Amino acid sequence: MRSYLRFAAVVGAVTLGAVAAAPALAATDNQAGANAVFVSIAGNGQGTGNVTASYSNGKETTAGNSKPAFPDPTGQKFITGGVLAQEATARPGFSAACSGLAGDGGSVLSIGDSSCLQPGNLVTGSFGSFDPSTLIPDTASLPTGQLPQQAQDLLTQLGTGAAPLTDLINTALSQAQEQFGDGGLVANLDMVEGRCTAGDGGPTGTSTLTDASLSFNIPGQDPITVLTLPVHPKPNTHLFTNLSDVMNAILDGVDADLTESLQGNASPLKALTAQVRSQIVTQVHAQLESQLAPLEQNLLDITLNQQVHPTRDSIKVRALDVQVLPAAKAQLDGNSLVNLQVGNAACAPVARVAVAAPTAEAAAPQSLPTAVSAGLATAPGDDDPHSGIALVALAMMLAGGTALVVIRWLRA
Amino acid sequence: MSGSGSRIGGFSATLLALCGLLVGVGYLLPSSGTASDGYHAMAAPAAPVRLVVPALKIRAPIEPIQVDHGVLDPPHNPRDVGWWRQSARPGATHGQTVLTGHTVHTGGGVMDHLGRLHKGQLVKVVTRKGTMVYRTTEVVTWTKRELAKRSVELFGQKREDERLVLITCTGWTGKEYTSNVVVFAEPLGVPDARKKPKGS
Repeated sequence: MRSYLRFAAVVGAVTLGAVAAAPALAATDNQAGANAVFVSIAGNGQGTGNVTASYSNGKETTAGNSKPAFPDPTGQKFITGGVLAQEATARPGFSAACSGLAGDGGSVLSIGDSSCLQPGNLVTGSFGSFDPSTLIPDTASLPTGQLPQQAQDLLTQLGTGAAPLTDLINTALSQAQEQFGDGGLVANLDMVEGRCTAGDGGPTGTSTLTDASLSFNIPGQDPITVLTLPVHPKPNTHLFTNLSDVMNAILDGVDADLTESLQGNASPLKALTAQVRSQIVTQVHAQLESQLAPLEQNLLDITLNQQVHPTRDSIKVRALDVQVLPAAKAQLDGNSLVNLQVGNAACAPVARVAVAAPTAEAAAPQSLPTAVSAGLATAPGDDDPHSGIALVALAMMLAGGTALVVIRWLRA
Repeated sequence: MSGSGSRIGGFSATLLALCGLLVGVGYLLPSSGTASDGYHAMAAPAAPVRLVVPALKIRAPIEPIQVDHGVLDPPHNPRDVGWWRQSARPGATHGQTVLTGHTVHTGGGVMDHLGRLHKGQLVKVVTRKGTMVYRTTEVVTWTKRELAKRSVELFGQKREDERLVLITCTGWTGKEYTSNVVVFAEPLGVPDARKKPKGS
């Protein structure tokens, strides 16, 4: 439970310092609604609130704050600057909504435009709470007794026993921990936005993720670009965590340090043959890898451009939906440990029969159609040429935290 | 007696010939409705299952659709065609068969090019009881308001003859469609098996 609480704190801070308490965008009596950010931790939700629009009696009524600020209740500046937007409108025969976040310098457009956000400068979120060095296990979990028999025999012959080797491994791992202590996962993005329309063309929805990527920084080295996100993901694109590149970077770092320690002039085990030193490194590598394996497991359920049709002529769009540790639902009353939503938009038709039947001629019997809604802006499920490897940068913050918790939990 | 028998025999022969003629005419003529040369009427109306428009390379499945709050929505799949199930079935002697399909601004809609259909071009509606062939008589573009005004004319089923109505959207503004393309077509019938239909 302690781990869960600690992780919850991490995620709470990471999710942009989610704001004033408000329910997630839900189906309402309004024809359009938008919600930029919403996060729920163990069922307790916080968000930017909803903007809604409805049309009746010849008048549009809107409610809510369309330009919420970035609150920062935790005092941790994970993201500097940036713009949040949530817009909705309803007119006779047409409704539209969009919401999301953009980098610093991004601008908010009116709802009538094709989007409600203009990408700004790159938003960079670095995650101090995710310390990759903690992924490196205690040396106690690397008993030298598990080393190759040849190495143990040599240690016996040298009369040094296992102590010098244990010290060397300790030294190497400490060096690796120091290396990674100042690095970690970095998320970059210009904009994440979801939007929808509902009109005579039928309901449509799109999600846009501009220049969004995840990288892993190691001091003194070029960042590793772990994933680049698709700009226009297909509806309901599911992603699964795959941190092989990060894992390999950690392992490579440890390998290098360990090799150097074993070969250093001061090493009491310098007399070991190169082959044995290689075996020792390989063995330590294998054990580390087994402990890092949870990173590669599906700890997250991530959906890009989530789209649902509550009714035939309405739509709900969510640019990014992240369920962290969905396996914890049984312990959390059906809730994921964390649910992060970015770019919620919902659109329903506005009295499309507003195209009134004529008065000069006989009004159409109630059972006859007075409109044919046979037009779409885009075909549902249009292929996105950029789709493929994808992971949401913001979600990766959570991935890191999740991995940390799981590893600690496994080791506990 | 022989004279009487001869008269009876002659009458019987005439009657038989008449019956044969009637049978032959009955075989050749449709049981209901009318059909053009090279076509015959369907034995009975049947729900449409596929739309074929050779001139537009349309070949799409048809599924029944309903009116929802006065709006006729085609199937969700933009490549499918919807048949308003309250409208006439192909092969009916009266009423009008209403089919609608999507136009997709970026392409991929089954009726993207419906407005390119010309008078005289054929439209085929496949049913499980045969394929009804129609000939285009009129292609019009109406605003949404005009279409609403013509609702009874367009969707009413109290017509004395049958016709086919195809409807899609047009007039994309960047946000919505402002008009409808409507195609009217008259029934020719089911093509005769032994005779190549005209205009096919």
